[in-house]
Amino acid sequence: MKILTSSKIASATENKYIFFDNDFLSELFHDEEVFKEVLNIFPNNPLVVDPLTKFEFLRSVFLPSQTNLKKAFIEKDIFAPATLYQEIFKKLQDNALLLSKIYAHQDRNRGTAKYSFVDLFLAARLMFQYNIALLVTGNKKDFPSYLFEVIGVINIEQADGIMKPYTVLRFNNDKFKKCNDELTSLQKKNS
Amino acid sequence: MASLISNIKPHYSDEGATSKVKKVDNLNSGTISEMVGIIKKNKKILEELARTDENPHK
Repeated sequence: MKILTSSKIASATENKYIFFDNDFLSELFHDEEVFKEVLNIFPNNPLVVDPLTKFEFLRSVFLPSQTNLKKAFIEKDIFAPATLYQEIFKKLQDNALLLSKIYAHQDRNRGTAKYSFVDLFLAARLMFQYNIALLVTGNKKDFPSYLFEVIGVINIEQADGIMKPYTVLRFNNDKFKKCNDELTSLQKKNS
Repeated sequence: MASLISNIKPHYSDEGATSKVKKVDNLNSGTISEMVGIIKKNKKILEELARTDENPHK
């Protein structure tokens, strides 16, 4: 397995909290060499797992022995759980609802885009903590470019030799303000 | 209702991301070794499952 990263990824991620999407977590869980290499990419970063990502990681596993291993893996203190008490949940819910409207507005001429409940809440979390939070995901399309900015790429060689790219991205609040202004302007015209 | 929905205010955090923050460099090597062991055990389970699928009477 070979891992190649974009240049300057260390400086781009310095002092940031790194959230892992479920597909990236699963990549780490399936290969110990990839796991150790990734730890070397983020030696000084807190690695954070959102509670909904943890749910995705653990769901649909039907073997009890594998369930126990996944639980043991995700609950190690290498992964800091993101806070989700009631007050934060309400704020994330507001952000997620607002983002869903922006997605629908921005994607209106591109067909119906599909954003899952978990991806909306993960985007809401990145928005909530946009000044410190970065996400590593293999599903860039779930985090559209009119709101999110790519700051690095981690390429991981798969068993069949294909290189799979994982994007390191952040919520861009300037892009958000532009999109939100467009939406608000349209809403005022329609009210 | 419509006016309420269209006036959602964005929320931003003024605190850290987590209740428990530990950097990778601050972890003891035992934790990483344990996690490597977990990954290897999972590989064995998947290999065993693949063998059983090839021969369901096993």
